Amino acid sequence: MVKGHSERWFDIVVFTVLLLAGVAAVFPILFVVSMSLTPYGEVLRNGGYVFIPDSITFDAYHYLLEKTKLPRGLMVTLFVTVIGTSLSLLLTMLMAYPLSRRKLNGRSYILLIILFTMLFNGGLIPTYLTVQQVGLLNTVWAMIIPNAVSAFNLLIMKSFFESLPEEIFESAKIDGAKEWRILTTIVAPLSVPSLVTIGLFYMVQYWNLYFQAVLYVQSSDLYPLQVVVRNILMMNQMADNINPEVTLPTVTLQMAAVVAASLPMIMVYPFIQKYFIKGMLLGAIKG
Amino acid sequence: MAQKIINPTTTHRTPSIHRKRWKEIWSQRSWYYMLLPGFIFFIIFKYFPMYGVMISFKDFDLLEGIWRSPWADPWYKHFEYFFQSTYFTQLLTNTFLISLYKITFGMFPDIIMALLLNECRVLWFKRSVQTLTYMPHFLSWVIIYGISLAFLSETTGLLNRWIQSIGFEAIPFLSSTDWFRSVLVGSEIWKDIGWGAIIYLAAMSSIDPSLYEAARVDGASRFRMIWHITLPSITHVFVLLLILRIGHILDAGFEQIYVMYNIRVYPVADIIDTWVYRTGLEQLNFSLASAVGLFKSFIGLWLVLGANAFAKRWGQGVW
Amino acid sequence: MNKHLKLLQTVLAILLTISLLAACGGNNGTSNNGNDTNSTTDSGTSATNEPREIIDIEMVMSTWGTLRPENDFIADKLKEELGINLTITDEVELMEKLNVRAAGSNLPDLMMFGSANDFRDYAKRGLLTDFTPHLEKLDQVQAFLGQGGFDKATVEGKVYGVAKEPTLRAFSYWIRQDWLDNLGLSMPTTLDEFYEVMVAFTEDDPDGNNKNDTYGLTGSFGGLGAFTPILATLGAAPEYQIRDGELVNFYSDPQLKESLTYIKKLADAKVLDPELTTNSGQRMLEKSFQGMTGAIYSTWADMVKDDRVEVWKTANPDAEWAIVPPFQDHVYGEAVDFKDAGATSGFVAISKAAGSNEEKLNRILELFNYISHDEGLRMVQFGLEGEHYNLDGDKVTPTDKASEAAYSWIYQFMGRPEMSYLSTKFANQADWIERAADLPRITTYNGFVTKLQEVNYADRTRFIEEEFLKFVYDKRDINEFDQFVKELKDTFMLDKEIEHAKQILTELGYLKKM
Repeated sequence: MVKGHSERWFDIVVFTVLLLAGVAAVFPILFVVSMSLTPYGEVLRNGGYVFIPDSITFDAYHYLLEKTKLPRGLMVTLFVTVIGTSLSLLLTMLMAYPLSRRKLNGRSYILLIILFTMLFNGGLIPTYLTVQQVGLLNTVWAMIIPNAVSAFNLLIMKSFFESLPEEIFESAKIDGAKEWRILTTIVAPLSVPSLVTIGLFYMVQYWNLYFQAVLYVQSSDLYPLQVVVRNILMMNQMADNINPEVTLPTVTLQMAAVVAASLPMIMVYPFIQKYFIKGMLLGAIKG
Repeated sequence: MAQKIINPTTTHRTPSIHRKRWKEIWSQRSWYYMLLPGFIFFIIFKYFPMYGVMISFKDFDLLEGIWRSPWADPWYKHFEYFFQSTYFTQLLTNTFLISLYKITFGMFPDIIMALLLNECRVLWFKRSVQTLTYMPHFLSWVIIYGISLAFLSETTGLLNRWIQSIGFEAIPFLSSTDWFRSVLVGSEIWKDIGWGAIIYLAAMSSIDPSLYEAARVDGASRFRMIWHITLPSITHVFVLLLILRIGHILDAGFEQIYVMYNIRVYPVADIIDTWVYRTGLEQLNFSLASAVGLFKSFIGLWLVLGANAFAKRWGQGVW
Repeated sequence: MNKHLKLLQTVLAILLTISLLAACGGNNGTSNNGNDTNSTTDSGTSATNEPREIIDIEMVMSTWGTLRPENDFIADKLKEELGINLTITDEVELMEKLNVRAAGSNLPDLMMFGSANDFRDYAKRGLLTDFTPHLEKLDQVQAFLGQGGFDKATVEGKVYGVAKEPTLRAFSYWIRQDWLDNLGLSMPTTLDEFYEVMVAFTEDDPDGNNKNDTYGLTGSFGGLGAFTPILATLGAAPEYQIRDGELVNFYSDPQLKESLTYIKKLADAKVLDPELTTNSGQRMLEKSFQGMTGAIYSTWADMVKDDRVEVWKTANPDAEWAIVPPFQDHVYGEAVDFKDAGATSGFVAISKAAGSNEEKLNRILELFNYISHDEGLRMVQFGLEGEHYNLDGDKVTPTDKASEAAYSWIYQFMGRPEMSYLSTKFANQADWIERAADLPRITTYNGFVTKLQEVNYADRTRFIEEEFLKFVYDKRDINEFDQFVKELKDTFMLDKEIEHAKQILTELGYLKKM
């Protein structure tokens, strides 16, 4: 009885804290969405913010779709994200598996070499020149290949692989399975949550790609979504010496741009969540 | 004599050990094949451009290019320029402190969030909270600054209106040196708490459920189960993240600070990166930016090496 | 288990397709790179007598998100008239992009620089074409811009570009006329009256909502921007002006001390927006439009353009804004603002590579001439005659299709006749524009003065702003002003900079030789 009591308290605490976290997150989000649906003048009349809009207008979204390069940018970003994530995930998995095996000769040197790139880089210009020499400049691939493997994600995945129980590998070895088969038929299926996590990290990395696009792409037809969005957001920040012909984007438009740019990534999340279920590992072994 | 010094390995290892090692490497060749594509990527896009580090020691000229630009005189000229800035000490302190606060106060909420979500038994509720807390990650700092103005502004902010309505003075959260760093840390936690929890949730999902069942049979409370089963299973991820963040201790979050700071809070908010950026706006100087970057990297490298050595004592090193 | 295997197979299949795609993509890329001789022949479009080879020209600039339509009639016209296939790339991070492209010997043919600093830097490093020898070919540009257009773009004795005329400087204080009326106050004519009005705006509930929720003045603190008309009235202006034949530097000017004293008075009376020091971007306009503050240093383009009026009318139907005329208790003459004689609204330059291709260079010079007079100049302002505007003698009347030509300003590489352009294009605001343009302003010469290599201007700016903040908000006694000037001289070589400025302005003939 006493135990049941404390269990209930535990649940209540968990519930309350999570509720608070949810509320803390939902208010500002509500604010962003409401602002994107309310005309700017109304927002100001209300004192500069709106939580529940009185009247809803989709003008800002219409403007985004018709008067900016957002639709085109969305297509570019979709392409870059889908292709980039698959490529990155594959390369990262191929590297993470051997690196997670402690028996690998030269393992710590290779890890150091990889870690080193997280701290040191050649800088803007040499990297640009490399991309230019490889012939990627002004192609979609310039937004994918120079970021193909992230050292951070690689180390995380390696760390996940390391926590797989050693017995699996031993029994596989006894079966005489080749390394490639161990990776594809044992390690990968057992690591679905971590693969999904790293996949999500890569997906968001490609989705939010901005600076590489600006540097490596010269034709505005190849600009991804974030370049269009950043343009809308930053214009107000550096608004001096601007031509009177330019109509500065209103807060309404800015908020609409943000909603439009992040909505797809948010909608994807619930589908990803279901892979974080307790006991994935066990189920996989038995299955 | 001279030959011995050049090739010391031969003196230490007998040829048979040497051969054995090569044999082992040959037996592991499929692992090396797997490493190869990624390795080529690192060589081409990460290591090859590193000759650019030279820029730090040269007076870089766009027309001449990296190789033909003249060497800086003295070679530490650009480092000196940075060290001799009126604000150097302050910049370093601010960068270090803001980063430290973000690490100490920012990493635990992620874990707590993950633990709570993991413990939550009402599935629909768990999923909704998880999605909601994940959303702010996609807002850029410009927008978050807009939101924080709506809540924290001294004149129009909701929070301040409420504070005033119960009879207190408005608090200048965004323009007071006392509050600004807290706002920086707080807004970053808010932005990334749901995002940061993902990685721990992934780690938790690989815990063997039979461990929990065994503990339950033993009559362990849920708190004890968290302590003895859940937390140990995520320490490796935590230590890894911690070490990597320590390596980037001199990156205190340029974009956030650049969007949010103002003249009043410069003394507590101006960091190395914002200084480099402002200096770069005034005069084109790649060498300075490169030198400062190199300085940051060196500090980061030593810290990472130190932190890893420290973590290895508990068998948690990255390599 | 099986399900996961299937997943893996699909991933592998996708990857295979990618690598195939990558091979094709690579080819596309290389053909777009390089820009020395990518001219293509096109015999179809020959409106001129002799069919000319069409030359591709790439221009990089910041268009602030303005889009050109799919069928860009200006581009078509340029192709037809001059045989130029002009591609304009909008760059958000203009200088970053130009820098890496310069490093990769991949600069575009034409560039528009926003800041004199960057332009001079590029010229000095030999990245731009010196077109001093071709100046006589630019007769129309010369006629349109005068010698000034070349003088401002002269670096180390050579002309490296064309400096566009600056856009109309129209800043002044704007004030809520309806608030003045509500409180029975008249338009302030002196600094003292202005102070009284600001106090009344803060304390006497000008919006009549029975709440103490208004302030006098808002704006931005950076460079004392919000207080410019006060500075101007007292005779101070950033950063170099010539007063009674003497060069005066803003920071060592005793009038700055006077101004700071007055501003401190405003701060002490708590009539300033408490967030004046943190306002950025559009924030101060937002506050003015939502009826929190009654005065702001601003311009017609921010206050009375149609979209703006709609915003503040919606927020506050009673609102009425008026321009505050120059204050009468001035020290060195009426002034509401300053105006830089060396200002431009951009520098157009030709890359070295494009300049060494004679055919291309000639075509570019032709382009410059074409958009500097008659039809070409009208086209970049208003569009096509008969379609977007009608011409009656000298007078341009926009047609109802004029909005289709709204993007034409992008092509104004040589600028435009500012006043006639604005009053035609913004007919609703013509009255405001004229009034704002007529206000007296202190002439400054900042645009001519180059910076000292050895000074870190970022540190200097920070130092100055922090000290101003202390003076205004009572953290430092204003009597320490001389100490402040001395600090500037010791740490940031102010004396040397003033000497340097003196030399430049004497050479240019603005200052008399001693």
